[in-house]
This record gives sequence, C-alpha cells and structure tokens, in this order.
Amino acid sequence: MKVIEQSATLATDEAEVAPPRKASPAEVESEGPRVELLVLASVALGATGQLLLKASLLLLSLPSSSRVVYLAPQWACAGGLGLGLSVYAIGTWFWVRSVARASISYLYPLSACSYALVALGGHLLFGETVHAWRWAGISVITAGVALMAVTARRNAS
Amino acid sequence: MNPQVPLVGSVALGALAQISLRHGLSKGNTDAPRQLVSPWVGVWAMCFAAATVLWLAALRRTDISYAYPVLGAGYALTTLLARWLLHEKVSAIRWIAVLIISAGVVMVGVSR
Repeated sequence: MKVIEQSATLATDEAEVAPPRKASPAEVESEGPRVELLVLASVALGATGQLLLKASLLLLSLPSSSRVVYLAPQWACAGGLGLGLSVYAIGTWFWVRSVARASISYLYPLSACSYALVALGGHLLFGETVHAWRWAGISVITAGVALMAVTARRNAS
Repeated sequence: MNPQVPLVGSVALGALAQISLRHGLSKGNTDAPRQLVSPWVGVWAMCFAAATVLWLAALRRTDISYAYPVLGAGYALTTLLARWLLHEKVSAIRWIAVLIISAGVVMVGVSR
C-alpha cells in the first residue's frame, strides 16, 4: 500500500531535520550497494507485493470447485495475501534503508515510477485494459509526486 | 458494492493515519520517552489497519491499474489535512504538486 510508504516517508522527514543529514545526491555515502539500486529494489518489491495481493484476490473469483495447488481458493488467497504483504514490507525496508543514505527529494522521483510499474503489471499479468487516458493520468500523478518531493528538502530545513 | 467506496475510504483513513502519527510524535505534544504510547499512535495504528482492509476490499472489486494510482490522492489529502489540522506551512510549489496529483487522479478516475 502507498500508505505504508507514506509512513516511511514521514519517518524520513523527521530524519531530514537531523543536522548530520547528507543533503545532495552527490554526497551519498559510498559504502554498500549504490543507493539507486536500493530504491529500484524497493520499487520492484513494492510493485510485486501489490500485484501478488491482486493475484491472490483474483483466486476468490475462481469457481468454488477448483483447487489451487491442492488448496481451496480461500486458503490459497490467504497465503498469497500474506506473501504479498511480506514482499511489500521487505520493499518498505529497502526504502527506509535508501532514504537513510540520500535525500528524499532525490529518491522520490525514482520511487514514483511504481505507479507505472503496477499498471504495467496489471496489464501484462491480468490482462487489464489500460486506455491512453489512464496512462496519461498515471504519468501526471507520477510527475506531481516527483514535484512534491522536490519541495521536501526546502520545507524540512 | 461500488469499488470507489472502499477506495475513497482507504485514501481518507490512510491520510488520517499519517496526520495522527505526526500529531502523536511531534515535539511538545508528549514527553519524549512516552511518545510511542501516545493515544494518537493508537489512532494511527487503527486507521492504518482499517485503510489496509479497505484497500484489499477495493482491490478485489476493480483493476489494480485503476485502484493503485488513485491511492496517490493520499498525498494531496494528507497535505490538505496537515495544513488544516496541524497548521503546517505548505509552500506554493507544493500546492501546485497537490493540484497536479489531483488532476492525475481525476484522469485515472474517469478512465474506468
């Protein structure tokens, strides 16, 4: 859920007030994997978690007589929801790790591409029809979220 | 049930959760060691859990390529509530971002 990510964001807004914060991407700490990789991992895991949730819920629409890997759809759905939420939680942990290392105004525009990723997954995996108007709306939301991130540092200082 | 009902509920409760958490953890509201047991943190947890359940209810009833972008409205609503209830300063550029996000959500909303 985006709400989880927002709570992580809120926590990092707090961190941003702390004096030893690195403010610019150029000052990103060098040890460990590149911070861009951490963000991409968090976005990919977050989108995967959401798509797992949707896939699990789709199981409930199956005819009641069908079995998914020997399980009744309700149990398979419950298991899938648990898995999806866990994958999402791991993605959130990656997000918290990355905002600890670079400024949120640098990272948020990267993370905002999760909207496009989830919509792409919905289209490719579940055959959802995504009209041009919806793609346009997703692009506009992504741009707005990115713009909001640009203001984050200024407001925190 | 119309999928918009749980979706809007999820966005609203998600925003309320963030405002409660911020209020509960902000300086001067509670003693530092007791911050995590502030009743507002309890409000955050309840709103957060309810928002999650409503999100799953919405996701069951509609496309994920429709429902997920609409969650972006949470950024706009949280900013409005932060200004209104917490009296936070919101810069002009951030209001523009709120307008852009809202426009995008409306575009996705009518695409169904």
